[in-house]
Parts: sequence; C-alpha cells; structure tokens
Amino acid sequence: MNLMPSDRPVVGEQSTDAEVFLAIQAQQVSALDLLYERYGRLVYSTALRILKTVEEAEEVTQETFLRLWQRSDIYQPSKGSLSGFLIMLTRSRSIDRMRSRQASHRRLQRIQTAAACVLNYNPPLEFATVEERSTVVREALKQLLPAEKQLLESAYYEGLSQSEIAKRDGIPLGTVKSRSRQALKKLRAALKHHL
Amino acid sequence: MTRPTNDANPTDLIAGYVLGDLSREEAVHLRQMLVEDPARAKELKSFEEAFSLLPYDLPMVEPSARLKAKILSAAIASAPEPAAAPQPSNVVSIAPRRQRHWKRWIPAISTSIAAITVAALGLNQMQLSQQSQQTVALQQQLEATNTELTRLRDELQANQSTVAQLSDPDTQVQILVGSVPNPTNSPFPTARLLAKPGDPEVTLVAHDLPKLSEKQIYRLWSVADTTAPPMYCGQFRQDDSGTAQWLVPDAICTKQPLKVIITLDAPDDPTTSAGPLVMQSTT
Repeated sequence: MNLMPSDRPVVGEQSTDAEVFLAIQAQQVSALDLLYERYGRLVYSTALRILKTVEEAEEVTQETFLRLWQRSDIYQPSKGSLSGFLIMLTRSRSIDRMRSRQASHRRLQRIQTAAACVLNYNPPLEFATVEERSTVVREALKQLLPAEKQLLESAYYEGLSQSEIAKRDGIPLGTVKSRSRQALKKLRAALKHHL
Repeated sequence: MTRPTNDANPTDLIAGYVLGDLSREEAVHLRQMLVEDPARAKELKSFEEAFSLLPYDLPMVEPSARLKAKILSAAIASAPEPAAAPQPSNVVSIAPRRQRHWKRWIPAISTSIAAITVAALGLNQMQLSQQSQQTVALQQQLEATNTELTRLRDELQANQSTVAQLSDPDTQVQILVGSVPNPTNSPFPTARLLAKPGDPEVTLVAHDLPKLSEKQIYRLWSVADTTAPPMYCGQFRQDDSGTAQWLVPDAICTKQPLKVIITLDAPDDPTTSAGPLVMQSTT
C-alpha cells in the first residue's frame, strides 16, 4: 500500500490496537515497534512457557510479529482482538514446534474458531492494558479449583489431548473431560463482563 | 469415546470444542447446531476468548533487547520501498529563510572546516550506506519475484495436468469437506478428489488443508459400504498449491466407493487402521 505521508495513519501510546493494526497494514515500522512494546513480553512469555527454551521462544516471537507484518491479511479484526490473534498464533506455532520434537503427533490442532460469522467482536478487554488484563484474568482464575486450573493449563500450554491428560494423571477420561469443560465454563462466567 | 445424545448440552459441546476434546459425532452435532442457531457462534467465540486469556496469568518475562532490534530490522528489510515523497509546494518560500539562517553561521562554519569535512565524509558514507541498503532491498525483491515466478510456473504445470484429468469424461470428482477448521486461518478445508476407474493415479486439490510436519502424513481411505472398515488408498502430502498426486495401491479405491475419507497419520503408522478424521466426502 503506497500511502502518501499525510495519509498515513499516525500511531502513538494512546492509539488503539485497531489503529496500530491499520498502521502495520500501511507498513509503518513505528507501529510494529509499538505493537511489540505492548505485546512482546506476553508473546515471548507464552512461547517460553510452552517451549521452555529461550532460543525457541525468541524464534517464535520473531515469527509471530513478522508474520503479521508480512501478511497482515491473516488477521481479520471482525473475528477477534489483535492481542488474542497474536497469542493464538504464538500458541499454535509453539505447540507445532513442541510436537515436531515429539515422536507422535496424532491430534489436529483446533485452536482457531469456527465462529467466522461473528462480526464486530470487540470485547471490553480490547481497550485495557496488558497489566489490567492480567489483573482481571488472575481474579477470574481464583474462581477455579487448583485442579481445574491445572487441567486448563495442561490443555493450553502442553497441547495435550484429554486422553493424554487422563493417561498422564491417572484420571478416568470422562472425569477429565467433564472437569475441563466445567473449568472453562467457570472461567468464562468469571470473565463474562469482559468478553 | 463420548457419544452425543439428542439432548447434548450445547454449552458443554462448545466448551469441549474449544478444549479440543469433541468426538467426531459431537463435532458434527456442534456444527449442525451452529448452522441452525447462529447465535451460538457468539457463545463459542466468547469461550475461545476466555481460553485465550490464560497467558495473562503467566509471570511476564522480558525478552532480550536484541530481539526487538532483530524483529524491527527484519521488518525494515522486508518492507516495500516507500513511495518518493512529492516536493512540497511551499518549498520556495521556506528556502530563503533557511539561507538567511545559514548565513548567520558562516563565520562559525569557516573556523570549523575540518569538522565539516569529517561530517561531509560521514554524510557521504551514510548516503552510500543508504544506497547499499536500497540495492540489497531491490535484490531481495528481485529474488522474491523470481521465486514467485517459479512457483507460478510449477502451479501452472500442475493445473494443466489437473485440467487434462477434468476434461476426461471418465474422471469422477468427489467433494470432501474438513471436520476441523484450519488452525491458521479458521475456514474448514475443502478438497476435490479426481479419480478415473481403472487408473491408479488420483489427484487431490485442497484448500485450507493444514500443512504437515515431517512426522505427519495424510492418508486416503475408501469406504465401500456402511459396514465395511475403511480401505487404505495411499498417502500424500500436498504441495504449496494444495495439490497432491499419487498412485492408489488397489484399483478398488477408484471404483465409486460409498465414501472417501482423509485422516492424519504418522508415516510409519500401520495401514490397517485409520488415524483421526480430517476430511470426508459429502456424498
């Protein structure tokens, strides 16, 4: 996109994620810089939690931001928040790498949504800072039992299927499924004013 | 295996979907519910958003400063050449003021000629460096264009073969639809399988079918009737255009099966049983 300088969106600390994304579409490096300042630590921390090595976490962080920079069309604002998209991409790529290190990889990842028809999805948290979101999420997670939180974390960070969690923890598969679903329903209920 | 019932709780199914623990039947049931009640899509989205917020609970770790520099420099290297800015119309009126401004400083500059020379050399070096960067960027663009041309030529060649098959009146086409969405860009994959009875070569043209890792392979299975187990009909990896061609191990694979399915397997998995379902024919 060849925008004249005067037509280029200008971004700053007060810009919304939507405005930053428009500037990234216009190939403004300053917008990518700002996006990294906002979500670099979150993206890197997520990759590090899954991959557990600094080198790979850095590679995934770089891939995530450059992917959006080079192919901004892969993100569609109508389908969700930019931060959520970055985390989804980070998780997807991290789990791909983790699984490629493992001997068996049988399960398809099912991270992205089938809810393509949801338009104008702008959760209130979209306008909160990372620190404010962290506070909200930590408060919400207090509504869960430690075992429930552990189940969600196993599914999220370790990319384990329910049957793999059941086998690892020695819990019947039906119990793992019902507890995990219950845990996610509780988390969503605790976050209902923010989604 | 969890089997759905007619009174399956939709919210439970949505939570299960987001957690990736739905059985095949439950996934089909959920898709049907989403078609019948589009409002459920919003509920599904909110479950996904809730799940995706988990990393905000993590202790935040600061990446190294060089990572940011690396990302930004890679972005600059891959950015398209910016359009040349037009000369502002008011440049004439500004120039005299600048000249007057410089004139005031001429005595000071004349006493610092050596410093100016050094600065000029520095400027020349900077300009040379900028030109060099522009040359590198142009070379990268040229290489990228050449790569794209090669890819398009390959794609054209593959498509010509597919068109030739399609123009054969004996070729049968099966439409396949994915069971799970592509994790990268969300649509459900679709594919067309071109097969000609008696000809062992089959062609699959897919859209949005996820790329495979080295430890994965897609396998085609033919189902002769509802009571028969799936029959192994070869394995494949798609190329960049989503096309794959291979020879089926048994002629019965191309003899109008009741249904064909595609599964995700490991290359060394036994061919006596199928892995997780990825796509199936719609007829």
